[in-house]
Amino acid sequence: MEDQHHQTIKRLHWYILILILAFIGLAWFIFNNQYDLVSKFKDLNLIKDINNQSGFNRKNKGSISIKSKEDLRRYRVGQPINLQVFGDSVGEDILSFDVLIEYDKQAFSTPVIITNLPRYIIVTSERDDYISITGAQSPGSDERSVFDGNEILNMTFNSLKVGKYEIKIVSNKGEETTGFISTTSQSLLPQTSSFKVEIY
Amino acid sequence: MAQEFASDNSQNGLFSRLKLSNHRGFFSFIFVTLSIIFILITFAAVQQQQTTQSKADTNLCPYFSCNNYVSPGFTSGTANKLKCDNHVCCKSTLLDVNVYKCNNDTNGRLYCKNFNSYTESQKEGFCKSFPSTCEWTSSRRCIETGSNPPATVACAQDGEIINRISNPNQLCCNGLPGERVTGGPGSQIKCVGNSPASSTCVKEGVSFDVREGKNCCPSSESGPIVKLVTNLPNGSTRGTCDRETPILGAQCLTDTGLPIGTCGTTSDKLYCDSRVGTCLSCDGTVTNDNKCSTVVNPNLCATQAGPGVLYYCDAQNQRVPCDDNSGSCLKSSVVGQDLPSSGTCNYGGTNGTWKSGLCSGVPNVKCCSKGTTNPPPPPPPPGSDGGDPIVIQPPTGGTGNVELDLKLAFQGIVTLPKTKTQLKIKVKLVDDLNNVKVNNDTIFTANTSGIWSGIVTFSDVDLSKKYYLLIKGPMHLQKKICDANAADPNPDSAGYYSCQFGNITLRSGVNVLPGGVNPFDFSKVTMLAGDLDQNGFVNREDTEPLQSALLLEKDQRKSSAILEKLDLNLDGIVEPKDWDLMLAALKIKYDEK
Repeated sequence: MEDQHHQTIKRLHWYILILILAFIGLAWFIFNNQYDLVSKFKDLNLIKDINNQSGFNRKNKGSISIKSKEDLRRYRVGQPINLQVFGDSVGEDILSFDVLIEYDKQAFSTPVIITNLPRYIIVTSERDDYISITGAQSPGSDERSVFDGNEILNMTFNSLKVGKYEIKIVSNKGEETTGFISTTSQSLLPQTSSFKVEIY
Repeated sequence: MAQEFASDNSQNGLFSRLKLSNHRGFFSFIFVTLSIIFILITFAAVQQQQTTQSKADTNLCPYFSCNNYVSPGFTSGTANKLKCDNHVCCKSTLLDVNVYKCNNDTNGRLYCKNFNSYTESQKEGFCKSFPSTCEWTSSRRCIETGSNPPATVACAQDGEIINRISNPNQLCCNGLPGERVTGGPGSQIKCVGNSPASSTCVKEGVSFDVREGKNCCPSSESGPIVKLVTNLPNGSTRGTCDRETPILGAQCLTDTGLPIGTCGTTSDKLYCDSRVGTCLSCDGTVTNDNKCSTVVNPNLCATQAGPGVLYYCDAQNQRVPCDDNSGSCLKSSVVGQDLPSSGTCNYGGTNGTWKSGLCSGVPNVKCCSKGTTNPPPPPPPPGSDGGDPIVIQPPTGGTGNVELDLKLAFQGIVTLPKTKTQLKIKVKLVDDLNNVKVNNDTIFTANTSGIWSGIVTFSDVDLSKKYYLLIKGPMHLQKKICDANAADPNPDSAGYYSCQFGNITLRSGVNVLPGGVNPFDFSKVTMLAGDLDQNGFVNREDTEPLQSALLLEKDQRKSSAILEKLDLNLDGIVEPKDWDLMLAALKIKYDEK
């Protein structure tokens, strides 16, 4: 009888362990749903390398890439998507640049776009299916602006509906092109990239 | 005994009753546990889904486009900044000195219930603009779809008393606020009918005197958006509240492109407010593109008779109210003027000679020198009091050669330019079928006020059509002009005149209005300078040369080579002023087409 009771207790420990594990699993499920922690733990959603995230589609001098500030690829409807645009001017001192951003206007409201580049002003213009951004350094500035992979634009998109979408920096739209222009009047047509996002 | 007791306890205990010690009990336990976990997970997932859905549907701010809220996206001056900041969904960002951008506030929240604080005539429209999110209830309240509505309380009929404390959600069935019950507790409201005698608003179909300060009652019926408006003839003090039903077909979209519904067009005074995507009643003029123009330009006057014309241009190009109140304005206080006052015919003929279509009065009146008596006016139209009629020649039909005496203003040039007084301007004449006639060779000459004049000719023009003009200067963005005597909205918004459909009618020969008024004086429309390479838009390849030039010494910035390409205001030096002009053009960026 004593031995049987001991066995029962021993099994009870296993059952309790199973219950604890199930509870932890359930808690993790709920927590992840709430805060999307999976993106922090799984490589699926963690963006470690911009080049892996971006599909370069031009091979010219310099590059412009885009990534999410939160390192996420999945966002809830209404959750702000903070995107950073990085520029590489391969050593050229840049006076002005143009960036053309293509996105689904049914899926996102008009983004808020700012630049943190010192003494730069940006002007955005909305077109049918893209936004044209021109950044220009204020005249008379002695500061050099060699883009070496630093952030040149910061964009906040607000999603409106679920689905999988792509926010692309496009090389050209009609006669308009994405590019830099240097102090030596050299026009650079950089490689461009895109950002894929899932809205749920 | 003690051992037996313990054994009994063990056998009678919870776990023993579950019979966990055998396989059947174990699997039963596992099955029950997994079932509970599954149910919990399902519940959590459903809860989560509902939470997400609720969040997406609840906040309406993402549907606003603040960038366009303060047209055209950029604001300067505190008034526009305040307008932006006062919107619950927007906030302004300082971009440059006194230059702001109106951005969506990521923290902005707007809910269906907020619409209840709008005016009676607006909240229903706003609420119904978000059919998937908001619900317009029979008690004239806007609630969130799917959310629990306030406890159902029967509305109070006329004469019934509502206790605001015990029944805070109860409303009068007639949609009116009711009257405070005097002599009783201050919380009591008595519902009263909306007859003119007892209400502040006027029912549909009832005539009233507007000087009493009353308005039409809002419609209490659900269904399509309807408005009760005062169809008040011009000059009359009596009006009638009538129902106006929107004309189907004009789709209303939000600025983000979401289709909302349909609005009326020019005739029914309903316009599409794309900021929220709803149909609103317009106090001003509903334009062809379904917008409401409430800004009355003091310089704007009609150049052609027709229904709805309230003001006419006189010989001095000033607004003159129509004499009659029929809305047709078939006559005005403008009378025929002798042309020209100088005694010299400036419009194609010579002094004392006659030329078709140059003078006011009647069709085919000829150019007359000062002192020449105008031909007698035609008989007054039926129903008028016989005053002097103004006759605007309608399009004559057929084809002909037309001459347009254009007067233009270029950004930054307000006096006689120092470096150039003549510019070659490209002018296109486009009809409503997009047939284009081009004149790229006209030389325009500047005067001391910085106004540029030039006679542009087009041959074989179909005179039965309506036209717009596309005008492009040598360093400028192309401007589209659809109306005679077009003007920028105000002096602070130079370059922001815009239009959609051509509304210019032409006739053979020189096109002037009665009284010698030139309808093609576009000197109040600013042509923005900045498209240096003339490729149709301003971008880095336009800004960079100017940026580089501004790094040069002053003497170098006065060199002819630099001035030829970069002196936007033609003042003889490339300086920061030119950069400011470039920035203003950059905000428009594209040729208008």
